[in-house]
Amino acid sequence: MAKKVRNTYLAVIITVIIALLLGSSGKPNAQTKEEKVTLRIPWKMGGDYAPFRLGVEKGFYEEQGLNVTVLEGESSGSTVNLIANRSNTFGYADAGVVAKGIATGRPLKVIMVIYQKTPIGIMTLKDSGITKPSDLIGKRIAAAPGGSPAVFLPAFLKANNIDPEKVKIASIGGPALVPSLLQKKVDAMVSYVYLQVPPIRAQGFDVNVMNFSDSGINPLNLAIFAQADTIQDNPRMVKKFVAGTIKAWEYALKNPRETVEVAKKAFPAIDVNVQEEVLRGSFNLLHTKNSEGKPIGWQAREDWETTQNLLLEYFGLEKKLPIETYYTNEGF
Amino acid sequence: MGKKSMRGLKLQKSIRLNKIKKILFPTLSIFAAILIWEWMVTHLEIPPYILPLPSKILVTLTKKWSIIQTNTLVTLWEIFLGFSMAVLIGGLVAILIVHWPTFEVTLYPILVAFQTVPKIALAPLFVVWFGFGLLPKVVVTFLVAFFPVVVDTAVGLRSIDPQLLQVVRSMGGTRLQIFLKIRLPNALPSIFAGCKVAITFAVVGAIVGEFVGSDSGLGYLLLLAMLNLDTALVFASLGVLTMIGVLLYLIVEAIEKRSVSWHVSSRSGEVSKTL
Repeated sequence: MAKKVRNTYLAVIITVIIALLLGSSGKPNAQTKEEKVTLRIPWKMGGDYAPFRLGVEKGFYEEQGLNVTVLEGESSGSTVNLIANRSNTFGYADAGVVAKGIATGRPLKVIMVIYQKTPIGIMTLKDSGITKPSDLIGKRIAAAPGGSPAVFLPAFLKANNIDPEKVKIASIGGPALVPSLLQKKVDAMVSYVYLQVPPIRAQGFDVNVMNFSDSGINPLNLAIFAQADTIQDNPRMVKKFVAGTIKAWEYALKNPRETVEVAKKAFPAIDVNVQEEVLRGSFNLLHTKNSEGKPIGWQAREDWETTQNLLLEYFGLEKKLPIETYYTNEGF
Repeated sequence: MGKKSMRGLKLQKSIRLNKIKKILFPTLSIFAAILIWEWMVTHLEIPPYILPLPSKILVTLTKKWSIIQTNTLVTLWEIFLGFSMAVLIGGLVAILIVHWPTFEVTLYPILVAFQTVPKIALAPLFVVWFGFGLLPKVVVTFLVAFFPVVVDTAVGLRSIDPQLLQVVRSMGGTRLQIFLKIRLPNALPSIFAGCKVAITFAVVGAIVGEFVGSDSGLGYLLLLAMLNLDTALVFASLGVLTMIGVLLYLIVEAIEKRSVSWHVSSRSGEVSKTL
């Protein structure tokens, strides 16, 4: 009797396994002339990454002959490693982290920098009375450990002649930053302004902002990059991706609401109202004075040099490399 | 020499040889693995950001020793506090569960349900509630180490020969006497089993707590190394972490050996083989 039962179970399990294997093999793709590429963003889908998804939905990449899949990621660092080990074609991550990855041996190159002005800033509650850098003396500032805000905070303090010993820096993980500020566990937080202000406002609070760029600390921010030999072996594909991306972002500039709604279709977890504000808040980051008038994503040599100098001093970059090692504008 | 004393000498020799084997064999195999690793990375030209050379990791370990040491001590303190709390409170809860059935019926299902909540998800919440100091990490460590201690202690306290219980009761033994003289000593092997599991969990718990909200500790160092793309430091930190995990486990085991040497479960297999 027991043998019969056991055999029945085995038969059921084997059938299920076979069904799963057959089901997952899928139908073979019709022969298309499209090149399949993937773009790995450094975090979960939000307003600031929605334009890429818009590019897919509106066919801006398709008309270039590219089939682009946008994938969520875990951090700039892990995104850099994913492109370095060829898991994905393109990556989108903090330019400083990509530069460090290149300097430590990864064969990568940046083809576009979308956010060229740094979004890093200090945020304090409106009623805290902390409105200028010198007000920070003796106060507690929260920063997510290891992120670029934490890395460049010393640069901001130095630029404003604040003794770093006079400021207490509290390491608080990303999701806990805003609650810590709202509960007044800390007096200030340093993070990406366009990203944090909308959710804070959505909870009924308002903040004072001190942008790092106003104090002259301006490392390049989110950048698109790929394997160096992808760029070398397939320059036309890179040009197509750049063209599609420019079109997507230009459309997003004029239609931020639609962009976020489109992204929501593929990534239902996003809150359209908050993320539309997030996207809008980032529009002033697209150019520095050195890249004014150039297409979205075009990189100025001076901006890369500024970034490398900041990385040398604050991000453990070991030595200066020829600036062309990090980036190329050949996609434009 | 008589036959009996010859057997005795041989026995002593084999016990010593086995003790040496216990330490030598794993150490040699780890050494061999490290040498193979060094050879493979060099000859297969594996890039350093994927798999660093053991020699490079050693260099990083020595160069950054002071920062590694400071952070290790922080983590060790969190583990110690969380683990001690887990043993004390877990032991207490187990005693209550065993002696008061109402307590068991009420509390046990809640304990089990709570155990299934992933602590890594609770950790950010603890930072919001308890701030960013020592407390949230100790709480996470305590919570992950708590359950194995409770379960194994309860099992141990329960598993006594009912006949023995009857005899002691018939001789007029009070509940307290039964507990101290019979249940507790009898439960020690089981309690230590729970503690050995709990200490390994505690190491993980402290690291998880640090990943989420910390500015110090090995977990924080690990996180920083990953975000800074410093693969050698990642490996160096992991190595140190593994070593303290093993060390802590051995310490618990050593305490166990002292406390329950009389129990059948701690007699070494070799001895029972030669007898």
